[in-house]
Amino acid sequence: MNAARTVGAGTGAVAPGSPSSDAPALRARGLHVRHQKADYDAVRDLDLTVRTGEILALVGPNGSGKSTALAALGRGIAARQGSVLLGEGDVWERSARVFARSVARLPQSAEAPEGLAVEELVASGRHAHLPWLGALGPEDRAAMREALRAVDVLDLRMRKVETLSGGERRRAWLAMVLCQQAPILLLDEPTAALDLRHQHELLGLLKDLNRTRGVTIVVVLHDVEHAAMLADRIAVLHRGRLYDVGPPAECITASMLQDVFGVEARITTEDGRLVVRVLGTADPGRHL
Amino acid sequence: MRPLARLGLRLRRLSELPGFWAVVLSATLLAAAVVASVLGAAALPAIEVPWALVDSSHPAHGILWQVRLPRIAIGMIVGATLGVSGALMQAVVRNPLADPGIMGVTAGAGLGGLLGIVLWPTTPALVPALAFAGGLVAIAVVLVAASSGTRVLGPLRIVLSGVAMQAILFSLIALVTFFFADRAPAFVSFTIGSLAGLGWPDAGRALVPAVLGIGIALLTTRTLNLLLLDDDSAGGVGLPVRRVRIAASCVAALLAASAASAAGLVGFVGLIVPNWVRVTVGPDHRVLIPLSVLGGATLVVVADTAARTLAGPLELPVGALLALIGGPYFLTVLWRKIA
Repeated sequence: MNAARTVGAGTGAVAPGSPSSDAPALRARGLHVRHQKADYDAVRDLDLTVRTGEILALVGPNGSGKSTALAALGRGIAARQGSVLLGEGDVWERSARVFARSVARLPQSAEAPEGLAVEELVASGRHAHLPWLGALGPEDRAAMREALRAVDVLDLRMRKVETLSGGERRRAWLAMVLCQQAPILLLDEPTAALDLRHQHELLGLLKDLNRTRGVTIVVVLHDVEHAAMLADRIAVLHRGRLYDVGPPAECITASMLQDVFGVEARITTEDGRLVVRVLGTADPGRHL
Repeated sequence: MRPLARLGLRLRRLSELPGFWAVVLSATLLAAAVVASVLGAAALPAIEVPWALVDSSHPAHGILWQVRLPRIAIGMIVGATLGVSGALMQAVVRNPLADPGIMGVTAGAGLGGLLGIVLWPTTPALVPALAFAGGLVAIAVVLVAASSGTRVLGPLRIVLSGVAMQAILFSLIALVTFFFADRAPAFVSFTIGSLAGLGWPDAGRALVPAVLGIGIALLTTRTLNLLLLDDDSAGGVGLPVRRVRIAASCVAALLAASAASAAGLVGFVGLIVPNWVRVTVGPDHRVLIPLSVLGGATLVVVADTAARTLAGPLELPVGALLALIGGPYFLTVLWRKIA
C-alpha cells in the first residue's frame, strides 16, 4: 500500500534509533487468566506494561504463567478478570484482522496440515494485509521473501512443512509471524529447538528489528542469560504472579533465582555479559 | 524399457501438478457424459450423438433431451455440490476423514424427506423442500450445541455434537420407517440416493444453491487455507476463527442439503473426492475446491451411468454403488496410512 510497509513499520512503531519510549504498547491491568478446564488461574492479578519500542522478556520456571500471560497479551486467550489494552482500547475491541496488523504472535506449539509447503504457510502471515477476497501481491511476496531470508528458510520454501526438522519448522513459523509485519511481536520461546547458530542469529535478528525498525518485542525465554542479553527489561513470573520487573541487571539476582527457580546460583559478568552459574538446588520460595 | 521408465517418471512429476489433474478430470467428465448419453435402454451410437442433439426428427432426440441430458446435468451438479461440501467440512473440523454427514446434515435431510413422504404423500414436490430444511435445521442445532457460551468452537466439539445429532436423527428415521412400513419403496429410493426420474426442473432447483455455495467456496479459498492451521495460529494472523468456521459449515450444509433434496442421501462422494484430491495434490484449497468440483461431478456421472446400465433394464440405486466404491477406497487409505 505504501513505502512504509517493511518489516515492523506501521502504526505504533517509533522512529529508528530511539530504543524505547514510555508510551505503552500493551498494558495488562489486574489480569486473571484461567484455562478452559483448569480450576485455578494460570495468571493472577497481573499488572504489566509493555513500553513501545522495548524488548521485554518474560522469564520464570515451568508453569509460572509466562505463555498464558503472553497469549492473553495477544488476545489468544480471554481474561477471566481484568483487561489488556492496546494503546487506548481493549484488545478484544477490534476485529482479529485489525489486531493482527498491530500484533503478531508466535504460539508455543503450532500445527500445520499435512502437505502444506513452507511458502504457503508463510503466506498465511499476510492475511491481515490482504482484502478479504484478494490474492498475494508483489509487496506481499517481497515481505515473504524478506521474512524467509531473515530466518534462513528461503531454500526450504518449496518443502512440505512436515518434512522439516523441528528447528527448521520453528523457523518456518517464525517467518510466517515476521511477514505479518506488525509493530508488536509476541514470541513464545522462539529459540526452542533451534541449534546454536540459529539461536544466535535469531537473537541478533530480534535485536536488529527492535533497534533499526522500532519493533516492540515481548518474548518468553527459558534461558535467563539469553533474556539478559536481549531484553531491555525482564518480567519475572512466579506461580502466575509478577515477581519483579526491571532491567536485567536489577532483576536477575541470586535471591530471585533462589525464590523463583529454586536454585543456588552465582551471577557474574564476563565481557559485559551476564553469566549464571547454577551451583545446586535450593529451597524455592524461602524468602516469600 | 528405458524410455518407458523415463516416461513413467515424467508422468509422476506431471501428476503432482494441479493443472494435469484438471485436464484429466475434465476429459474424463466429458467422456463420461458422452458414454452416459450413448448407453441406455434405447441404443444410440456415439457418432450420432451430436446429430441427435440438434435434429428434432432424430428418434433419440427426445430421449436425449428429456431423459439422459437432464440426468447427466443433475449428476454433475449433485457430485460437484457434494465434493465441495465435503472439502468444506474437512476444513471446518480439520480432519481429512470428515464428510457432510458428520454434522448431521445428511441425517437431517433424510428425516425431513421422510416426513414429507409420510405427511403429504400426495405432494411429492414437498420432499426436496423438507429435506433441504431438515438438513439446515440439523446443522443449526449442532452448531448451537457445539458452541456453549463464549468458548471457542473447536473441531472436536463440532464432531461430537454432530455424531450425537446423527444418532438421534437416524433413530427417528428408523422409527418413521418402522411405523410407515407400507411406504417403504418411496423411503428406500430416497435414503439410498438415486437420480432416477429427475428432469430439467430438478436440475434447475439444484443449480441455484450449488452455484451460490461453490461460488462462495471458490472465492474464499485463501481464508479456508487458514482454517487448516491450529486455532491459535489462525487467530494470530487475523482470522476470526469461530465466525469463519460457522460460516463455512453453513455453506457446507447448504450444499449437502441441496444435494440431498435433489438426489436423496447419496453418500461417500463428499468423503472420498476431497480426500483423494488432498492426497494427490495437497491441502491448498485454491486447488482442492476446483478439483473437488470436477472430481465429484465425474464420480457421480460415472457411478450413475454404471448404476442404470450394469444390471440391464433394472436400475441400481447410485447411492449403493457409490458406497460400494467408497468403502474399499476408505479402507485402502487407512491401510496406506498404517503401512
